[in-house]
Amino acid sequence: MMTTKYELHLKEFLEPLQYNDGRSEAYFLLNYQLLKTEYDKSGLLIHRFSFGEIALQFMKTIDASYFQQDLLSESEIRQSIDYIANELLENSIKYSDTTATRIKLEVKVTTQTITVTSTNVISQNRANIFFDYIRKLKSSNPSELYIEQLEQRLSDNNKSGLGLLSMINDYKAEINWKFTSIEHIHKILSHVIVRFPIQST
Amino acid sequence: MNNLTESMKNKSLSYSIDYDCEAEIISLSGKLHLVQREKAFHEILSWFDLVIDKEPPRVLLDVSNLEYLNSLGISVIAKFVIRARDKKSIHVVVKASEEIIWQTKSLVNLKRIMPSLEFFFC
Repeated sequence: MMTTKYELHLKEFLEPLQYNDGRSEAYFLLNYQLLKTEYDKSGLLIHRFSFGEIALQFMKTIDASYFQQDLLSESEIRQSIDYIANELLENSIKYSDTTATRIKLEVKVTTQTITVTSTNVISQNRANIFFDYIRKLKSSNPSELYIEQLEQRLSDNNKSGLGLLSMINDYKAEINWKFTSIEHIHKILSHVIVRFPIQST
Repeated sequence: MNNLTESMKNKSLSYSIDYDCEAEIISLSGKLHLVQREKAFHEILSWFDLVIDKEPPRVLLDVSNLEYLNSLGISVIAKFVIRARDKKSIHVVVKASEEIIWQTKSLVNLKRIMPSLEFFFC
């Protein structure tokens, strides 16, 4: 098994990296309270490290012969994964339960897709808002819903889910949700799983 | 940059927002992650408002050096385009870059809300 070390320049916010398989998968446990403080003070902590770059490094550890010929360019993959990961991270910071301590962000690379997953603790109330949103998303045409959201007032933006809609419409990503009840604290563990195809079609 | 140009720079986040009020050019560059309540967010909104209120016949929005913009930022640009569309008298031109993915993937959707929007990619 191959492991690669990444200089993330964000060590104060990172637990030690843990590898399930150094070739293709890693997850990051981010300190929610510190991120939230920083986010409230100066906007999101982005651009100090790049999830897109991490995904590209993972790809390079997989034998090139496993990949199809028609891959997207490195630049397109990096920029797309940066966008997806930053949107997921921002949502996690905005919607985590105030008592939460950690946000987990996972990047997984296969020869066909890159999956970014965010996991965080949310309140039952926030979960209900998500359920409504997911129901709406599944029963609508995402392209029409996207334009509808763009036309909405800015003040509605907090609940618009424009980031997720743009992943579906613009990045051709597939999104899945998983919710697990944490009974002893009456909270919900929310997983948002975004699968980005890396082959050009 | 002359005195007609207003500018705001944030070195730590490496973006800049410039408005040349004579040539009617709004330039956004760098990496911009807009957050509601934050300074850059209000700054951009107020300049967009200024331009809409002035109602120039043509305005150029230059994002060709804006490497990154989050979904709220895209939404803010969409609101500007919608307001310009509703005025009916403002011709909006967007200068974008083919190398920047959020522009080729997301920004082009603005044409769906304002068909007369003119894009040129460099």
